[in-house]
Amino acid sequence: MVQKIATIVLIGALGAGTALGGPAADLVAKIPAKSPAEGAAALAGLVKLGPAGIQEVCKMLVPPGTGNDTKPRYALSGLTMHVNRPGADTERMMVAGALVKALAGASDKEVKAFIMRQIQRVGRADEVTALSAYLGDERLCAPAIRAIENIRTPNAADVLIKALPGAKGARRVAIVRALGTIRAEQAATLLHADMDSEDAALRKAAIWAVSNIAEPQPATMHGFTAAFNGKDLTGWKGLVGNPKTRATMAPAALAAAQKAADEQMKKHWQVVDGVLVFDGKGKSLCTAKDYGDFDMYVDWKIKAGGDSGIYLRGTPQVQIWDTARRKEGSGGLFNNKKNPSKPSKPADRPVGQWNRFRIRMIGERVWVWLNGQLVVDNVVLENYWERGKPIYPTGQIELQNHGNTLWFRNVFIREIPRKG
Amino acid sequence: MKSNRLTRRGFLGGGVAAAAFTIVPRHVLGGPGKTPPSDVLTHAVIGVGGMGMGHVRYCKNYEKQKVGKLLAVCDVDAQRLARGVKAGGPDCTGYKDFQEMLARGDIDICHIPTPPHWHAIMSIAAAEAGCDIWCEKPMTRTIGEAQRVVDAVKRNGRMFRINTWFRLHSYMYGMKMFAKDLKKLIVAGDLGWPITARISPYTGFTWKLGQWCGKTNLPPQPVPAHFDYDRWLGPAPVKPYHKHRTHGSFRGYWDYDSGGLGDMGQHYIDPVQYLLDKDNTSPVTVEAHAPWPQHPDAAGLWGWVEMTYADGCKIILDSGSWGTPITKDKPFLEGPKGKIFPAGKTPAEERGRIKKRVAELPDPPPMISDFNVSVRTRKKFGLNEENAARSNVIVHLADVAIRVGRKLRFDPVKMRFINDDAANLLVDQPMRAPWHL
Repeated sequence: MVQKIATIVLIGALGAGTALGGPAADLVAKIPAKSPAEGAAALAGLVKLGPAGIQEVCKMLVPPGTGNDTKPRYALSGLTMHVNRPGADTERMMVAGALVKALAGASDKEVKAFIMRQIQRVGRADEVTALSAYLGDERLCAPAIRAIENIRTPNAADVLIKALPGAKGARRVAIVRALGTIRAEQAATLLHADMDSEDAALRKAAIWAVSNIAEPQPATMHGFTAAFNGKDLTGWKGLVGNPKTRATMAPAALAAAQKAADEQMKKHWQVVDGVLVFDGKGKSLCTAKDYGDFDMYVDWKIKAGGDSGIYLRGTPQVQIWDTARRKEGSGGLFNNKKNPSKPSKPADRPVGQWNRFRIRMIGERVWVWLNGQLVVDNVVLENYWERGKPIYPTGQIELQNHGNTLWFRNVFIREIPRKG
Repeated sequence: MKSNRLTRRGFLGGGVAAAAFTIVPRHVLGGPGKTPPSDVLTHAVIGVGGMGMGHVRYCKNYEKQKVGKLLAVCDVDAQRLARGVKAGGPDCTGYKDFQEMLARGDIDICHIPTPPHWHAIMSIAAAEAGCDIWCEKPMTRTIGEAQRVVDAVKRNGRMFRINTWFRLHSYMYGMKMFAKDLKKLIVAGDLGWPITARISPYTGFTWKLGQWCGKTNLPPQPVPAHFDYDRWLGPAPVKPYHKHRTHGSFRGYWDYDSGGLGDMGQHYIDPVQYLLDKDNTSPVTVEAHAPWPQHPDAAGLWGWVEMTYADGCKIILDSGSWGTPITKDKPFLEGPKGKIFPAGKTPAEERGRIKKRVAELPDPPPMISDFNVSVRTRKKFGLNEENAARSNVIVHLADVAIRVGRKLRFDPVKMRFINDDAANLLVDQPMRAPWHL
């Protein structure tokens, strides 16, 4: 029984493609061969026939269900494996070029999709350009994107971005997803509108894509506002109590306490050469504004043994510390008890160098990238002040005092509108 | 929103929660008169085809023992889903969308007996939803996907197992011995080092290649009304529908699995990896002998695959169903000092001697062989995400070598082939949108 089915597969392979004559057809007839070496010899023969021979094989492809093209499918798939071997670049380029011509010449979409899957293995920049012609086609958009993602030459991002304005529905989702997969930095700002789209699939794809694109420059990013102006402490205030105690204070008492805290803050937080510097003696620095859902960047630097953190909605914290003391690294939601409190990996730069956090908080959930690496992925931030309750819906962002010198810069925040 | 306070999953959750496990009084967790959640683990099964119904039966069996409860089943084939819901009983809810199912938030263990092209996406989604994972073999469709599953399982502090058991219990096929017994002989140095392991019908392992061959030149067929083909394909490329590509025969198509290697590979190779002490590394070279080229779509026959580790240990897969076999009359395990043949090829006297020797040797370190214990104690299952990812590598080293058709070098740390683009394209295969890892 086992042997019987196996034989059918081989006979099917041997029966097809022999109707056409010529040297290409003769070589195709020898495929599949009985060993990799014999197969490679037949395919080397095909390479020798050049672009014309390869296009001839492509012409043997037929729309599914209309004939038997098993043999040429074996041959073309083998050919793209064969020329994608180390040191065969000239052959690879020749085959890629021939396949692009065959792609243009083929009329059936399933045949085109098959040729695209072969180009996927051998294409480079020119083939990406050729494939981009199909990004507007409902059936062929997906195989074109798959090939472009695989080839991933620098122009891959360009052709995908170019196709973005006209793309809607599933095609747009696919292009956005692909820009995320290839980490097209220049696309990050273009995708912000899609992150707030009414279309849930598109919204999800855009949020993922922007997240996956590593560390773009926040200053140039659409939608972000500088929370620190690089000159003075405008937009910042001193720390009074904590969210729980503040909520119980009478407005007048709170205002008085805030005034005193602001005076205290100015003694210990200073702006030096565009950098926020903390002397290690006062209290945390807080945004004057409260934030709900947001996406933020902040650069930080510590000394040996240093310790700090970023409080979100007034609550500890995205941890910062010296990896010499805490090997797991910075970025973890340190005060979590039930949900993960450690980062997935250490991504810190050596003490004394700048590190960049990107922190995104949506609802109760937090994502943290440290130096471009996702170290906290979709983790609930617990309410430290009132353990039985979920995290507060809004609150200030704080740069934490922990009794040592600290430096911060590039604090950029983008508020994410909440869906009604 | 989830408050994650005293939900059963928060309770069974990551490291910190586990510490609370023994000190929280049962009545607090279960409520008066209820069985505490620590005693009844909740299950869900994604994919209720042939293999999936087997998982439904595991769950129903746990229900009988009052240690488990099947809450949900999921399938993209409405007929199969109806069958699964019926078998699940009145408290079991059916879903078409696994993400909707995971969003329930009350599932402790998520079973994933879908075709392998879904394993990575679903394992990661289940880990992120806070579930422990009971996944079918092979672990994932590619080498790259398994690394992402390992990351997600660790990141979320989940327990993971692959549904194969020859490392842990059950005789090693034709050996009529446990993997543990063979391990004892190897650790004692009875075979010497390095060791060659041969996995072939001649050593007691049938590769079922014929059964899992794909068909070529399939004419397109209409998609049945009860079947959501697009959703079934998910991350895989769109190809015209034919029944043979899907239920019960999908293993024959590279888009979804690796033929007989996919079906039997992890069963056979995982215990061998354990025997050779290779749970933390992978072979450095692989070479296959097979008809070539292989079909782009349909998995076909192959002769043998030979893989070598940096220390000289080898794993040889021999199908016995194509070309000239290379393991005929050879032992299953062979080292410079000793050999072990399958039971049927070992004289009774020799078997007696081996048995006696095994009995006098110390046991290797124990492994958890009941997944419920892993889930409750938060201690890794014997065949967990990390060593499963390594045996998954071996399955895919073989299928990549068969498809690429040349000797390949592999970097066991980076888990990528060295200087071969064609091979590495099969390690990291892009997914069809909107799916991604």
